[in-house]
Order: sequence, then structure tokens, then C-alpha cells
Amino acid sequence: MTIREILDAGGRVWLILLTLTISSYLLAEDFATRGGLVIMAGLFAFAFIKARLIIRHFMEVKHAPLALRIAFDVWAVVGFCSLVGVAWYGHEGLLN
Amino acid sequence: MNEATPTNSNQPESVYGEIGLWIAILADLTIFTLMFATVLYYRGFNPELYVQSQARLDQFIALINTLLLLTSSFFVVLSIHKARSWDWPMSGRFLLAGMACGVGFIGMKFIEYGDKFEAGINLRTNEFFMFYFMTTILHLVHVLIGLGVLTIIRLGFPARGVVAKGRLFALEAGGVFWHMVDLLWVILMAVVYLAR
Repeated sequence: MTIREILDAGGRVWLILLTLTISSYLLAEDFATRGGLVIMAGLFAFAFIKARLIIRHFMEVKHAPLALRIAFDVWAVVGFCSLVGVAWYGHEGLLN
Repeated sequence: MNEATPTNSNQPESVYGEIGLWIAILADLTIFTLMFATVLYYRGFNPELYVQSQARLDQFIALINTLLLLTSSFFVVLSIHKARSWDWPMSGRFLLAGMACGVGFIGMKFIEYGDKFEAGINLRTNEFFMFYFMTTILHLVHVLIGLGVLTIIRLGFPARGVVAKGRLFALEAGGVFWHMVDLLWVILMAVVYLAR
């Protein structure tokens, strides 16, 4: 297998996923102190972008019928918004 | 649509496996997302406890585990790629490489749990660790099921020559499940290990 073939078969997506993973890790560094809501939202955004890359390219949902593509995108948007929403709610001390 | 030629074992504008598989995957994603939202909800009552407890997790092991699962998924992608051009020996090798990464993930998990138990941390230590064990163990069960499925698929690989189309179909469906295990971990890592 040539490098070219590996890259075309999903290697590029894999490299992007690795880069995003290491970036999230560095973004979250200094685990002992409490970060801001922005950092948390950023981490979740990275996670859902990665999830969508896996869905579109590895599961090949990009070739799927429209209904399935929409279903996964709805999951990603609703999922991201709920996690950030709940985190925001707690962060603002609204629960106490 | 993007493609004029078939991209998988079915027709253009189609997906691997059958619709039931995709419903199961969407259901699983939803259940896990609800579970993560629950963790974040309870975190809101006592953020300091969560931050302090989270600092006792091993983020580096989690990072290695993420890289292992992403690489594992990629090997499975390559395995399917090779199977489509009917290069089954190469496909089988990539599948084994993907499974090896999965086994590596389980090994790292045992090291991690071992460290926790040694430090006297378990399910009942506090609320954070209850969620930590609950989410990671539930995910680990998915890894084990995924590896089991891939093993069965690998055992069904043709020894030589004769190949039924069903083999490719099974490999693609197993691959979809394995990618889901990977993407659940990606979100779990952000919520349980990194969010602070």
C-alpha cells in the first residue's frame, strides 16, 4: 500500500483526529484547577467534531441516505448543546 | 449525491448493514449522551468535589487509550478498504492490527483500575468515582462486545480464493459498531477525564 492510498482511504481523517485529541489534552492541562466554562465548551466542541468525523468518514455516513445523515447531525447538535447547557447551568451555580 | 459508483456492499446512497443496526447505534449514542448529561448535572451541585476527584484520574492513560481506539478504528477502515478490492489476506492483517489496539485498550484499562483500587478508590468513594466507574465499565463492555464481533468476523475470513459477498457485509457492519465504541470513548474522555 502506498502512502497516498493510505491517506485517501481515511489516513487524513485519522491524522486530524489525532491532532484534535492531543490538542484537547493540552487545552485541558493543569487538571487540578477548575477551568472556565469556555474551556469546557471548547473541549466538548472538539469531542463532537471528532465524533462527527468518525461518523461521516469512518462509518461512511456521508454516503448514507439523507434521513440518516440528518439523524446523526441532530444527535451531534443536540448532544453538544445539552452537555454545554447542563454544564453552564451547574457552572452558574443555578443548582445551589 | 456525492458518489456515482457503489461505495459499499450495497447500492449508492446506502449504508452498511441494515436499518436495525443504525437504529441501535443512534439509540446507544443517545443513552450515553443522556448519561454524560447526568454526570454534568450532578457535577453542578458540587463542582469542587468533581475537580478534586478528577485530578486523581490518570489523564495520560486516557490520552493513550484515545489514540489506541482511533488507530484501531483506522485499521478497521483499511481492512474494509482492502476487502472491497478483494485483497482478503491484507484485509485480515489490518483487522488483526485493529483488534490488537483494542486489546491494548483493555490492558491499559486494567492498569488504570488496578491503580485506583490500590489507592483505595472504588465505586463507593464518592459520587464522581461512582460515575467514573459506571461510565467507563459500561464503555468497556462495549469494547468487549466489539472485539468479540470482530473476532467472529475474522474467524470467518476465507482461507483462500472463495469469498461470499456476505463476508464484506459482515465486516462493514462490525466496523460500524467498532467505530461507535471509538466515538463514545472520545466524548467520555472529554466529559469524565478533561472537563473541569
